[in-house]
Amino acid sequence: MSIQSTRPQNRREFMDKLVVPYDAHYGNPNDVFPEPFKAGQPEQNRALEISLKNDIDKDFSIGIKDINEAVQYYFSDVLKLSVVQNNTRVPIPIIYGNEENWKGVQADGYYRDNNSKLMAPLLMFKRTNITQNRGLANKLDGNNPRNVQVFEKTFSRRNIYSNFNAINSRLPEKEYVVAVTPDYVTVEYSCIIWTHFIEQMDKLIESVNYASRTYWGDPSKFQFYSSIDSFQDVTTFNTGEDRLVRSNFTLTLNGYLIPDSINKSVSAANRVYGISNLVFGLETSTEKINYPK
Amino acid sequence: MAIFGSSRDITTFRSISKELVNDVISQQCGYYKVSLSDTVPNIYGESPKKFYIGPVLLNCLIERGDFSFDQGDFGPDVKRPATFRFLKEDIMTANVHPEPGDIIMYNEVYYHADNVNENQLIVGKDSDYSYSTGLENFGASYSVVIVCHYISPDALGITQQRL
Repeated sequence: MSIQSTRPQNRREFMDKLVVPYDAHYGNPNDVFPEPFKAGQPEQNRALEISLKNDIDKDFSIGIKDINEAVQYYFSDVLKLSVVQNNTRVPIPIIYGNEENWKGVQADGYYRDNNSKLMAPLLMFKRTNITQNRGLANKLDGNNPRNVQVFEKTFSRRNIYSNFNAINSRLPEKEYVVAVTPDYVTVEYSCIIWTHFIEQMDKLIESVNYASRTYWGDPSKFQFYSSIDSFQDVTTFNTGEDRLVRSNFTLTLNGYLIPDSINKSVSAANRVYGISNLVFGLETSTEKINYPK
Repeated sequence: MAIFGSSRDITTFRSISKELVNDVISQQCGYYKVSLSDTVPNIYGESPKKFYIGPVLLNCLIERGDFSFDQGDFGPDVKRPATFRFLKEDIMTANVHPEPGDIIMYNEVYYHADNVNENQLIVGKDSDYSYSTGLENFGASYSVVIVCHYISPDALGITQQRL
């Protein structure tokens, strides 16, 4: 197999030609502007481009989906709502509102009867509103956010044990994860509980109401402060329709968002490292060493 | 004094209808009534634990509506109307008194009775309500028509579908 002898220069190789010599007049040659330069776009600093190869940490971003999953988790894994129906304790399925038909009818057929008719109890939630909370901190500038938060990691693979480090008393370096200040938002969910009987509904409202004004979410991921102000009972029985026992409530979550967008990742390094010291002492020997011939 | 719809005419009507419904068409359904003496309602006028009388097997004419899927927040939900027509004589023989709230089972699907109509009278008269002498042998109430809608069996407590 022949090795290709000529190939076009990549960006780094091309820019390296401009580095020498460093001149204060031209500034740091590592600051590379996007081509073509666009006003408002952040400068690109290669020094901040750190490889995340083999990194198991999630890039620090919190999306709307994370907040939705926190609600889902709290309903299904913490509250674990259930009712007693036909002498059996029936767990309440938690569904997101207006899902696709293949999911609602085919994949989740267990809460439907043989003719695909819905069977109570059910709990539905869906996001209805996201409002910016401007009373808290903000990132100052979306194009170039400088208001960052730094988290120190307790373990870094760069400090992994080696004989060399141990012999030379290498000071372990600190690894920090840098995240921009999030957008604080208030997320509202419309929730509906549907049961066959008001007696069942009472128990469910008691459980959900008790969980109001607490932090909802998976403790190993994100938790958000929640509040529920009121429950509206909707019990109707129209001719030709089933008796409807439903309770509507609005769940409000104080969430925060860090998008996974390019301007966020470019403008702030997501990983920085502290200084690592490795001190070599001068060792001299006056003894004559007789090397074997 | 009426001329038509005497007891002889009524007997003819009834025998032909009975043969048609019971021997020719022979559609059957199970009729459930809530046992009022055993079922205890709560403060909301409902009972998660219901007891039923029946099912009583009855011959009838069934007008099945189509299944319709209504999209809602919980996903598509199925609705289906159905109309069950009984001969009044069969109803009386079975000692069943149809009322709204009764349950009819047909092809393993349960229907909730919404309307009960006893409104088909032979020659427009009912011999039970004769206000003049001689009319007690003319006319008759002929049928009972029950308009129903499809209901989930889990709500009734008759069969358990949610496991």
